[in-house]
Amino acid sequence: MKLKHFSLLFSIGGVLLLYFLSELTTPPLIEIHEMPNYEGKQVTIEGLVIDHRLTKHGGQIITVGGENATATIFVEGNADLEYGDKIQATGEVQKYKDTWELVINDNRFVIILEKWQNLSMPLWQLAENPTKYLGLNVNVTGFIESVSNAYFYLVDIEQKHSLIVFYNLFENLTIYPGQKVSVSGKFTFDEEQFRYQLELCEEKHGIATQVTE
Amino acid sequence: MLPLLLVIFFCVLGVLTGIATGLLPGLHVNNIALILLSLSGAIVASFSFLFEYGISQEFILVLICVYIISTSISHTFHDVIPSTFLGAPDEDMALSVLPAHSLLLEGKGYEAVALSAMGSYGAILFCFLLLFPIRFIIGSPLFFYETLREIMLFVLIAISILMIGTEKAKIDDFGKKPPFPSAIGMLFATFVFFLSGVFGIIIFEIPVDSPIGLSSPVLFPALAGLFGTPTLLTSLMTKPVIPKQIIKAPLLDRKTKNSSALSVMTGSLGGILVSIIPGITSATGTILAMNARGESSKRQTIITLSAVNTACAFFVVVVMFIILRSRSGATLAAMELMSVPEWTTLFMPANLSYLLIALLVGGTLSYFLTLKVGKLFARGFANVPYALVIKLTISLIVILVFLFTGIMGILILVIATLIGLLPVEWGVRRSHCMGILLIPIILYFL
Repeated sequence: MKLKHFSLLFSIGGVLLLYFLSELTTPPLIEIHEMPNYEGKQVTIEGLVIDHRLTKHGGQIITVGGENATATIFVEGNADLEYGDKIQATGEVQKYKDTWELVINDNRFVIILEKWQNLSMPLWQLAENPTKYLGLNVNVTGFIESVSNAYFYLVDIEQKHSLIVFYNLFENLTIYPGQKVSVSGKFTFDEEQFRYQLELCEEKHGIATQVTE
Repeated sequence: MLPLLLVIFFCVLGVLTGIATGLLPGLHVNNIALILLSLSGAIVASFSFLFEYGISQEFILVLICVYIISTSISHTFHDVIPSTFLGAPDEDMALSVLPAHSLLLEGKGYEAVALSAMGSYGAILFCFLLLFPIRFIIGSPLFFYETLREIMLFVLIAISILMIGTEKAKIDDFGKKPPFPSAIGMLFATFVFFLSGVFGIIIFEIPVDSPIGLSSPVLFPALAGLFGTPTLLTSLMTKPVIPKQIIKAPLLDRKTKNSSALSVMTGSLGGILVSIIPGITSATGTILAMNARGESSKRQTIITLSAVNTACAFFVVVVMFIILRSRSGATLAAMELMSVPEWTTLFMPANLSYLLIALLVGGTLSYFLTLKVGKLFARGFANVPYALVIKLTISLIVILVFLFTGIMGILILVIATLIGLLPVEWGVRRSHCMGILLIPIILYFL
């Protein structure tokens, strides 16, 4: 076989081989609760950012929540995240002081799959699993009811669920009962009143009106 | 005074290193930049005695950058020597290879080197003249780069089409009746472009690890395989009959002088474009410049090609300070090592002026050294054990690839070499292998 034919055949074969290898070597996407089964191995996990803080040494500790479990991620470097963002992280599973951690040596392996503002959900979804979103930025859709100067209630179409929304920072809003809106704010729990609430307390929070169907 | 002397000292060191990287065809300046980046901490420590003389740690890092940039500029001068003398093809392949080779086969290897040095040095001078105009065009007030960014997708697609569309190779393995060979040549170029692109997409998904904990750039084995090792392997396999070389400087009459000046200018503009647009190399710049130039005599092609190479190495440094982006391995390392403030006013940042000194002094030194080394090569060509030199170079690349990217890197190198052999063996342009960067970048912009 001439070198020109050899190179043609084996270059195509080589690229195919690399493709299969890349499929094999890509870390598996696992559920957070499965992490103990993968000690010392590279894995990918996905979840919502519940907490994130910087360490003294320039690293970052991120807590993500998935289905009924949370995981701690240690990243060398700083990933630009916000509470409630949906992220994907790839790193090595390690045990640190009795907890399972995902250790990542490069912040490029933390990918934001969706910013919290884009993760819109109906009110019933939040009502079904409130603890999952507690303390996070959320974007909830529903209908306005009982408007006052400082707050209003957000209800779903069947009026099965109701959530109080504090919007005192947004004085120039024109909202009226029955209006369909999408509200982005921080989902918290008021211990005195013993109820969940949505607070519009930061500049990035807001209310977007939607056309009623 | 001491800082200036140190800049010149590191510049001379860089020029000497550039001779080594230029003469060893597979050893690219990007590899040196990468190694220096890994070793920067140790280098600063070994020059810590300079602290006593008021030289700061930041300035030592600037000196490393001066060294890298001088290496890269010297490399663009000296790399014509191995491509002329080592990559010499046999008669069957003479049509498909660079014009410098065919001059070698006529006994005019030194003339090819001298023309190339002239093109490169001309580009340095021309680029220096264009420094401020280009600054105003790319940056404020014209912001050409911003406009270009908005249409980058179309620019990259247009460049890809131009690259493939201007392929002139004729492949008659599947039929000799015109226009069949030309059409197959173009189809084959398209195939190489897309195969390289798919290869590029896949390797970015593959984790590579250095067995000794160095940073692991996956592009290193890929580019060394696509562009370095195939030339070396072909040089090993071909046994050209080289006539005795005539050592004579090129004779330039008035018409040739004008034509050469035009080649330097179009080549430099091609090189400047390459330094701005991501994902394209000097080879693409040469195709653009040659199309704009409209002449394809062997000598003018050599001048244009060298001008593109050197202008690109010159302007990636300047562009780094205007758009704050690196367009080469050398500037990538420089951006990691030193502070790169944006050049927004009439006065250029201090770090840029140090690098400009390196470019000008390094370029001038390199011009004379290229002529000197070229002469030595032409004289002692027959006495050098080239097969051994080439085998050692291949071994060096394999060792470096293993140290930086491990066993997976070696596999990538082998497959990249097989892809890189396609254009060499089938006679199409090697620049189609740049699909490795162009296709992933086009997909990113989509």
